[in-house]
Amino acid sequence: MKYDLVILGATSAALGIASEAGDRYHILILNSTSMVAYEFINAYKPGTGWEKEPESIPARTIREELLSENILCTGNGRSTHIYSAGSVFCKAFRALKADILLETGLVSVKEKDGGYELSVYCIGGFQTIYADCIIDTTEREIGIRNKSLNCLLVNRDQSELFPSIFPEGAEFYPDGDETVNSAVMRYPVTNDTTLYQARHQLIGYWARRPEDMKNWKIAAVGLCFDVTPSIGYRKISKTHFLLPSAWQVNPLIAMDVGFALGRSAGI
Amino acid sequence: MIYRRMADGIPRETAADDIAFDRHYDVIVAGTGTAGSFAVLAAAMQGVSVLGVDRFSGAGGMSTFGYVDGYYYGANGGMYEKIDREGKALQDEMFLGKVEAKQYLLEKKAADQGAEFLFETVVTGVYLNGKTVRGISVLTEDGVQNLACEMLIDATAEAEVCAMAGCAVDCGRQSDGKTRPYTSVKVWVTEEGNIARTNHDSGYINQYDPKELSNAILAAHESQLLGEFRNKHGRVLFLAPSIGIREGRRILAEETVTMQKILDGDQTKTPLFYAYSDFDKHGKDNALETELLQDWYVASNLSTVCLSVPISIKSLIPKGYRSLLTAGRHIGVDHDTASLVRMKKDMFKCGESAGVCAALAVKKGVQPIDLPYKEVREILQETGCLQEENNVGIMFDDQYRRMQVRWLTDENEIRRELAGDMPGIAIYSCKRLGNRMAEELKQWMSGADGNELLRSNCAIALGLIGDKACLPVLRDIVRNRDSFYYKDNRRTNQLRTVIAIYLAGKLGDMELAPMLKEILLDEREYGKGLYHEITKTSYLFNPNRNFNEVYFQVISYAAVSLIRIMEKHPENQEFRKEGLKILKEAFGDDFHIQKTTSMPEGTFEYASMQNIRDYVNRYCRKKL
Repeated sequence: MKYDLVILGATSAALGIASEAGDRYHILILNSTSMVAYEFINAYKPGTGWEKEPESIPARTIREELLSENILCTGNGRSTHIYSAGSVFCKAFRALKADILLETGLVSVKEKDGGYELSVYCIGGFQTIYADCIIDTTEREIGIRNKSLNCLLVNRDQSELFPSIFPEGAEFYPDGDETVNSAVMRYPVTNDTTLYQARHQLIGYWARRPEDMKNWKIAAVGLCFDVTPSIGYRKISKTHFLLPSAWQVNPLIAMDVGFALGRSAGI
Repeated sequence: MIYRRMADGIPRETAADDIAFDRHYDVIVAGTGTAGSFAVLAAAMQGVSVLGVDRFSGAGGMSTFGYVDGYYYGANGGMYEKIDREGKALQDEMFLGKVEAKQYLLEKKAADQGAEFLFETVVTGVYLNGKTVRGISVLTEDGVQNLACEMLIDATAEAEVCAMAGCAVDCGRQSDGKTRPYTSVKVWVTEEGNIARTNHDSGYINQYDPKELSNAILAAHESQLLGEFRNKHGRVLFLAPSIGIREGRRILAEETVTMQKILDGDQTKTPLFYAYSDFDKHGKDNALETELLQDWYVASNLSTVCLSVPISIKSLIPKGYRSLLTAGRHIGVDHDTASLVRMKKDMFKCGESAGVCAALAVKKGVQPIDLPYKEVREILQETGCLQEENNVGIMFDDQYRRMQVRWLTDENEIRRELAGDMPGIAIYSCKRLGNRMAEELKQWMSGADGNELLRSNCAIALGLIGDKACLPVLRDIVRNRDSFYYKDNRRTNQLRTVIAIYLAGKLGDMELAPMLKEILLDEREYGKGLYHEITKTSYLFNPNRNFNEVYFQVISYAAVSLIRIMEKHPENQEFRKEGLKILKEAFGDDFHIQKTTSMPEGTFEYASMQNIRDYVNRYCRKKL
């Protein structure tokens, strides 16, 4: 299989890149799991900067859908539960003019004949893919500063406010939504911690929570880490870019940044 | 030693005499999902070294990452019950739902027994000496590792390692190769703060085509935005990352369990566990299933009857292979049986059995097939994995009817049952008795004296036996577009017109052809009463108001029966020519799809009629 552009990670940034460049280039998006825009949605990363209008049309379209789905609040413009947006992003990815391989792991990348030879592993086994250009929207190459495993806490008692004094060892972001009394907990872990280890640590931490938080139950645990990449962008060469989506403050801005890179003459 | 792996969907083999393994385990379990997670735990509890490998970041598979948090049938007993009990207590303390609690406990208990896990890791190849497995290669975040083992359990549900190793596998149904429809799960929290999950069948895929799989995942999750599947209240938490694929490759085992053997009572005497369910096939396109299943499910209307099925070690072993076991829905069963032997409780027990057998075999230095059954049985009986109480035979087992099915032999009893609206057992009993019942059935049918149920039920029973004396009655049923539904089951009860079309087709009734032509080609057909009067079908199986179930069943059976009739009369070229013309015209466009549903392409509802259309068009292309 030969592509003009291979994008690593079905991230929000990847969505922006492929939205812009899909008409002009033969694009493949490779993703190791079945989740898309996972760096926000499945990481339970609340995001910030929601008041800012995205610039690109694809990001604006997504924003409109999030508003109509009541995922994005109209009042203060901030996201209350971006983790609910999986279907909206799946629809957007499916509409792309790009091939997408989910559940496909990257085995190796080699430079070859002025381009790249990628070995990947998917349900069909090993496959070799050739690309003229690579954009890595994951943090795999660029590294991370820190990471956390986030989870969603829910209290069945609608009237019980989230305690004003939080226990140490985690950060809390009450959703501030009238439908469900919920909050995102951000539980930091060391960079070498696996998801499996982090999940057990998080559960152990929550088992020791203070008495006034006993009614706050874990509703869902992140299926990937909430990460802060080391830097937001690096151009390795004219045909190799690193644009970790998780660097951006929310998926709409990540789409904008991806869109801009997709438009740049370098690709 | 040889190394086998898949590349571009094809098994490849290379010499591997110089391989240096990074680590060695007594037992490696590939896939720590529903079955594999219990294989890890059970093997570790036998005191051997165990490694569980999985592509997800934790154990449980469809139970956790697919968020299938409840049970549909399956036999009780086994290690899972303790996990469930303890999980409930942990849930009450910490979690809104049970899934995370059970996953945590399962992983912790296995680790406490010394088991290791390699998560976010895929198996990429297998090392063999001849047909004896020696180890695997895996791809982790840190790169490729080679791991040796004494015993490998393929618990991938897709027979991934078996396929790599070159074991014989089968997949899908004979008519068109399709497997059961897959499902997607949405997890949400209600306004009351409770966890809820909703799922709907999402279509058909070939999960071994990476692009098709990827598109199916996105399409299934996107379909949650359709009006039919939206939540009116509450808030979506996430879409289960693992879509629910109900069927895939199945191994050709040392002993393959078939539907015919189950119905004939030809079963193993050395079970590891009992599976228990109905033939829970999900798809609505019954016409494309095996005739045996249609005889049972459609003609006899026994769709929700449950059967206990004993599974032996031989059904877990790929034929001819050593040091390799399977655990999961890919064990040695045929396509029909795969819809029954797949329930969570049973897959837990399948994993537990495989784990125990693998560990015992390592400790004794023998192959699992050579293990002393008495010793295995005692271990499995201790946890309740194997218990004779689970050998319940054939049952109606739901809130409407809970009773053992006893096949009838007494003529008076058969006649009495055939005069009612729940004649399924009597009809299938006639099939079992065969021609011995033909004369009585003909007499009862002709002397029914206005007992319309007795007349038509005798015709159906005769049809199943293969006696053409039933045809005039069956034609009457079709001619009248009889809208009667039988009542044997809590759901998926069959429409008499559909049964009649099926049986007349099976008997090759050329006189039915003009009626089939009318059904398939006359645009006035859709206006007929039965397609609109029955607003609530007895199917009630993932019911969707945007799907005309009656129309779908009648059209699909009309098409497939016409093909069956043509196949029964290969000498009649004129009839064949006319038949192909009818089919081409009927399915040359999407007319019947549009009449059946307005759901978009890619949805289960659309795909159900598309399957029929594809099947018919393929047949026409082949014959023209």
